[in-house]
Amino acid sequence: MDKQEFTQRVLALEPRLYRISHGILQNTQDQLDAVQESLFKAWTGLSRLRNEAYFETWLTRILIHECQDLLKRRKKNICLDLIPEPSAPPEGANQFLYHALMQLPLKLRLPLTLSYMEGYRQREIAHLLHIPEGTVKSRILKAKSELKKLLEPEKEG
Amino acid sequence: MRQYDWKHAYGQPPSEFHQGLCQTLRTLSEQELSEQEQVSGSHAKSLLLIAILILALLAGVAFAVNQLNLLKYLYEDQPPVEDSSAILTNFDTTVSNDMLTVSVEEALFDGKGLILTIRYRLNDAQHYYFGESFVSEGAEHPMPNATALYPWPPSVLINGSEYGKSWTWTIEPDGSMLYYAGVLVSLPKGTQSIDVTINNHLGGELNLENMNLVLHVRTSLRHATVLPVESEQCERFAIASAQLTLNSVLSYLDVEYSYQQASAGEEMGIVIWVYDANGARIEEVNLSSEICRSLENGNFLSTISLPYFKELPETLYLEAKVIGDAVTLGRIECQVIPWESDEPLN
Repeated sequence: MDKQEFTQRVLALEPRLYRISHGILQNTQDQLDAVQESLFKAWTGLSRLRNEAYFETWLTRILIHECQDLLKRRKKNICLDLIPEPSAPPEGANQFLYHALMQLPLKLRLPLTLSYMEGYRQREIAHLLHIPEGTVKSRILKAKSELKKLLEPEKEG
Repeated sequence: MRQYDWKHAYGQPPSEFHQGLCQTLRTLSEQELSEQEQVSGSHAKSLLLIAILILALLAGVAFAVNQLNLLKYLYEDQPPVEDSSAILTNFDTTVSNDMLTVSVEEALFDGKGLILTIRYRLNDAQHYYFGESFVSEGAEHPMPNATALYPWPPSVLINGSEYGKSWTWTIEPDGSMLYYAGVLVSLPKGTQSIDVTINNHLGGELNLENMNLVLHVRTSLRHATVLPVESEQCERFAIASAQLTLNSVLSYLDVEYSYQQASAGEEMGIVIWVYDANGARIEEVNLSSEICRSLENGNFLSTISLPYFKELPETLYLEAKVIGDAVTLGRIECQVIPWESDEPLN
């Protein structure tokens, strides 16, 4: 894969990179940092990618790792009592859905994001997150259940 | 559940996200990476800087162990180090503007790794504080009538190139921000000094001048050959050669290996974990991502940063694991044989 193809394939993935990084990190600068570091690692590690057909999934997994790593590093330095409320919904977002998603814990939000927004199958999500397929299934079910409760007021309104 | 437009639950990527992505891609493209070396720009920032260069001098000042923030970065808790003053460089280099004063405080450079601590101190701590700087879920310090500032992380260039780095920060009790950066470098053998540029493009009114440092190797390294026991070869992973390099603070393990990918999957390759003679994993220190690059002979060369060894182990186990899967290709027992001179064993 040459630089031009790399660039084109990354740009085609931009919405996914944004959604996944946003699903884990709510600050745009953080998302950018994670994406930039992921692109750097992907570009310098291309020789490890034996089958370029896997590029999109491969980059997605690098990004998830990078976001989780960034989050982990932050949490080492953070007093949990001081974590601020989630930021305002980005432009064009469904406000109800956005706020409901942001209220879900990350371990539920991330599988749901990968399933509903990115269309990954449960087996693929298990592969991406290094968790058993059964755990993915139960987390998605739990996430849907939680989300349903959170979205009820909207329906009633 | 499916009546929602899930694809737009988070809205569209904001323009700064798109611009940052494009800037990163441009930066990558400007690098000569055809050989897949670990040299590139990972944090692309626009370079609208006041270009005044500050020359920093080294001052080899020994200081007490409780001042070694840099070691806290590496080890978090109690550093397993007895006397590290000889390897560390202490600075009193600062730049400032109306808002901030920035000081490089500590540095470690041994020819293979670079670690820096940089302190950002607010000039007017009554009216400003560091808010969720660098982070999405950062610490807030609610203060009435005070304004939160949100600096971007600085970037660190070595001999003009930006390497992949590990970094973190803490808000200190006095309100200053202590930034840590760790980099594994790939330099020509025998390199004794490097030019380091700290790009203090922190955003808007926080922008500061670059800081330029010259760092010299301040320590001699010990070496050991890590020799696989012949009967322990794995089916698809083999160690061609391995070498342990040690200083008084941390260690590096260079492993040249061959690896045959499975017919399906394993698209991310493998990672090497290190275990001691009792089978306990030796966790990597918080320096930087493992460097791995492909060699002309088809092998791969990985550099792994490990903790300080007070006594050289006699045995290490290297385990090849498929990235992203719970698949282990095998664990190879290795003898650790110290060099008697500066030359490797053959």
